[in-house]
Amino acid sequence: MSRGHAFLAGLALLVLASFWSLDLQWAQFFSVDAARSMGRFVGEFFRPI
Amino acid sequence: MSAAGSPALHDPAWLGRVFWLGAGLALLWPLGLATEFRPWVLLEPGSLLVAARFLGDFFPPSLQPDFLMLVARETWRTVAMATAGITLALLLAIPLTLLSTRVLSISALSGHMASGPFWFRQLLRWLMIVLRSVPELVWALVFVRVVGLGPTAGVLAIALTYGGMLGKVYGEILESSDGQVGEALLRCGCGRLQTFFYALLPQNAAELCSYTVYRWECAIRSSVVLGFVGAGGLGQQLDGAMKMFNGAEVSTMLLVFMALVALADRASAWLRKEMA
Repeated sequence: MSRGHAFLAGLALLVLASFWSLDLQWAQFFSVDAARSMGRFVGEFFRPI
Repeated sequence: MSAAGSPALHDPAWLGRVFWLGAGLALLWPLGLATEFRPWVLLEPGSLLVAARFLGDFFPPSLQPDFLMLVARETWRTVAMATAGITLALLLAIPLTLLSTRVLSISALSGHMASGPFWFRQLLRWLMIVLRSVPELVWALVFVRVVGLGPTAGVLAIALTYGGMLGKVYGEILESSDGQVGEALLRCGCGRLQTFFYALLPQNAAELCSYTVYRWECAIRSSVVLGFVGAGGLGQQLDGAMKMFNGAEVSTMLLVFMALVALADRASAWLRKEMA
């Protein structure tokens, strides 16, 4: 295996390990609740005070 | 006669220079007052004592085994947040670059880009401006409302801001290179992706890589700042240690940051050498 391939393999490992270890809350981010909360927040931009 | 005393060596414009220096200071004075810029507060005995005690604690750095384990775990979290953020940013930036760069326009070969493609590219540029003009801290605060405290908000914030930055700079790197090779391929009937892979990428690979690694380094720094608003990682620990005035722990974590930045620097230098 050349050095370039070893580097790419290491990089792929780093990326996979990052996503695996962080326990990202995608389900929560793409939920209806999240969309509603974002919508409400953006809606506040357009309401004059 | 000495050289300094020679009339020929006097600055003929000294009066103007002194005047403009004074005018500059006179203009700065109200700005200093308006921003409450009072550096002498730092030199008051009370502040000096607190600062000296805090800085004195920096040495020796804290090296207790359980603290080092905690730092190692949080360092990995910080690196993972930066890496995941940059990966998502690349997923956003690469298509945006390919779609918005001028050098891959076929209608521009005739000298003037058609209005449809022009406005399409302009629209994407505006999208990138919106993405990167909102600081990652603000994105993080928005996402913390949605997904709660934790790394998800930090990763998303880095992905959006850095997606905009990477897309813009990649596009500019491609446009500033020698366009003749790409133009020749496009004129011969090659597709845009073929032109990108066979003309633009080989010409600019080293620069694109170096900029990406630099942005990864920035993302590490930025994930530290995001830790302050609850995204986790070293930043959150640093925030806690600062608030407790625990200088030994702060200095250990600052040393870890320096090591990370040095590592990114080495990686970038090695990559550029390998690609040259």
